[in-house]
Amino acid sequence: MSIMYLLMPLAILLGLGFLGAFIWAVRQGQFDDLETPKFKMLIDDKDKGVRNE
Amino acid sequence: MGRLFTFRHLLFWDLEMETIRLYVGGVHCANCLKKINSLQNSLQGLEEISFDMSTNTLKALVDPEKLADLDLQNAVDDLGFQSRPLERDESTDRISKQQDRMDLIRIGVAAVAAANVMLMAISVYSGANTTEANFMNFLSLLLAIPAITFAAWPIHRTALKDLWMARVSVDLPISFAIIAGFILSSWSLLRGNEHIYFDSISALIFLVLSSRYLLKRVQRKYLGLSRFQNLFQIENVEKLVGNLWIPTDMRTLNPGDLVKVASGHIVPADGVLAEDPTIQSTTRAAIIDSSLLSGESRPSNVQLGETLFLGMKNLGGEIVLKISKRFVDSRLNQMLLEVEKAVQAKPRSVQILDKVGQVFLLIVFAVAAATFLYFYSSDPFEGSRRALALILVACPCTFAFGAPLVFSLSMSKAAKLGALIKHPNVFEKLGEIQNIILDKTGTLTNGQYDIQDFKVLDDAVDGAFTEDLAKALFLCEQSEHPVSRAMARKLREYGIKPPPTLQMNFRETPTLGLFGDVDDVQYKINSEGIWRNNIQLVSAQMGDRLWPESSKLILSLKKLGFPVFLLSGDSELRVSELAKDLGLNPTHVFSAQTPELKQEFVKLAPRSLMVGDGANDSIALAAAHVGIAVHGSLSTSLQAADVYLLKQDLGLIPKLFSISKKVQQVLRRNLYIAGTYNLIAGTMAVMGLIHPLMAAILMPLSSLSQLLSGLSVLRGEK
Repeated sequence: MSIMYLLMPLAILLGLGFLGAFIWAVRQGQFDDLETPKFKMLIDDKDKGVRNE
Repeated sequence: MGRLFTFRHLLFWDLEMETIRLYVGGVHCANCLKKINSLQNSLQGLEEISFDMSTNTLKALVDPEKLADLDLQNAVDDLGFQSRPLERDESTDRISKQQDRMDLIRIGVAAVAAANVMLMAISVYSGANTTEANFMNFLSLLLAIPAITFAAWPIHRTALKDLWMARVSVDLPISFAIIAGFILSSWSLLRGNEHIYFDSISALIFLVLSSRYLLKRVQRKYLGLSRFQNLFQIENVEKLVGNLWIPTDMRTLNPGDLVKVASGHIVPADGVLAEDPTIQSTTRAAIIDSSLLSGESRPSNVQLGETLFLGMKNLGGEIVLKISKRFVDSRLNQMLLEVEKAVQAKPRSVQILDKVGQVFLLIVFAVAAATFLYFYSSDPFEGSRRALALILVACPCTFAFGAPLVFSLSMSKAAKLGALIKHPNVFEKLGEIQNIILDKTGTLTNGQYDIQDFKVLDDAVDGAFTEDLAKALFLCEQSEHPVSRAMARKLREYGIKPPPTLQMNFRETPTLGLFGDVDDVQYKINSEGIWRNNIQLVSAQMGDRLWPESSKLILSLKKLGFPVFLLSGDSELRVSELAKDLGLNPTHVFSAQTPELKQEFVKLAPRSLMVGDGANDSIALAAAHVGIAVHGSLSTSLQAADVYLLKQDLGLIPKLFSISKKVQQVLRRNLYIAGTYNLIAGTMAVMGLIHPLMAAILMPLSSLSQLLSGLSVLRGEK
């Protein structure tokens, strides 16, 4: 069972990696507007005018 | 802001671009978004357009020389949406966005901590040996540190502020439980004890933070509504200096100044109607639209020497005004200041939850202190362990996240029905209402001075008939008077088109109407119809129409048992007629009310619900226990009101009452559940029976019951 002493910190590191990715995404503003994007994909590319910050 | 560079920017890179921000209601789907989007192709001078559906904000980059704010707003309204200008200043927006992001990061940190600590807790509970358990508990301690410090910082901050200001709020016990739990657990870990609660603490932080974030998001979505621009644009007016009319900023006018107000313009300050000293003109009265101040749409005639107020609109020909008050001292400005004061001073009714929370807190702390003192002489360690376990386990879940969840769910439910609620305490205040006060114009009626009955008199028809109507239409379109406007709209509806040019002699007389001489034929147009050489061609009747929901509303409010009052700035005859149609008690109907009188009335009626629109109702709305501004209201009434109806549907008001009732039911049930849980868990903690495994099961169970109970506000009343 001593492998646990390696695996658990590794698992936590993995979690921290995802946390880092999440913080990066938040800083990028990816969670600022959760309403508009789901409709934007329905609009044809040629009307690209509506865009997000 | 990401500024998009187009070819125009490359070619004219000194081009002055302006950002316009609008609040746009009614954008719900891809199609709506597409429509907004398409403006870019159809509007000249619109460089870039973006729409944020989470805040209902439209942001446009425009060339101000080609596209005015108002044109953009009209274009959006023409698509079938309702737009309102927002402040140009983006700083508040940016700060709130930064805060939102920070909140999310804190939630993320708490979530990672909670999830990992829980995984390790499961391994410990499922029978890890002592060394393994110690190792995992130590990792849990490390993981919990960022959660209780960084993630829970907003909770601690409020708690500290509470201590500093000697008051009690929910954050105090939560913060205390987090810290106490952490100390107890770390201490137990060092002593090789089994009382380790890192899992419960991190889960608590995560739940509290996320439910609060949810509530904030719902509130934020509609916060834009309270940040509208001014009522009208500051413009230059012509002031008499010596013998010349000089353009001057309307805010710099002083008492005694003489100014000209052109047709269709705003009266720039309070003043008296005067004669123009530069020309030998005949004295004449003015036709004034005072709807901004009185709420009534029927234009009034003002005689020489009578007072006009800032915000009124000159509908007739050019007039001259002798200023009697400075811009800042004007009646309208005083009214706006009053609204601001009232909104700030509005007593936030002490919420039941706050009161119960305080009592709850006192009991928990008292019992904890008693437990500690009881063991003080025999076993102080055991005493402090039990006291800390009690504080941790007696989690104020209802206050911490049960209530915010119920509020955010019910607010978004109300918003879906079409009513925006500014603050959750409205639900509680609605339950305390004793009187209902309604405004007439714009609230119960459509507020538009329009033609109700339009008849073309057949016996007047001769060969030149349509030509006559075309000429009449041309005359109507020369005038700013609402009657002429309404008549023109109606004539166009009948397919009449005005001739491109017309030689005519045109004059407007208050009370008599609009006269035009074309060749040797005289046309007369007023609110009763159109005449040609004194032969009536068209008969018409003017008025504002009752909304179809109005009588239903009054019926259902009466059924709920409220006394219903009607206040109107209109004349007695019209109001009493309407009141009879609506089945209102004549003693509950008051006509010829000024904004100040309405406010007085609202203040005297205890626990009143006021429904109104327009700047004229805003001081009354602010004074009311609950103020509801109806669809299409001006910005001041929105600031003053607690609730804003997005749709023209008065039927929402009874629905709000039933939602409020439901919310209070659910909150009460939450309290009972939490009370039962705390009684059981608390007793066990004091008796020293709380095992960490038990806490790990009981605490989420109590949270879950709060969530499930809270979700039930969504049921019913679609």
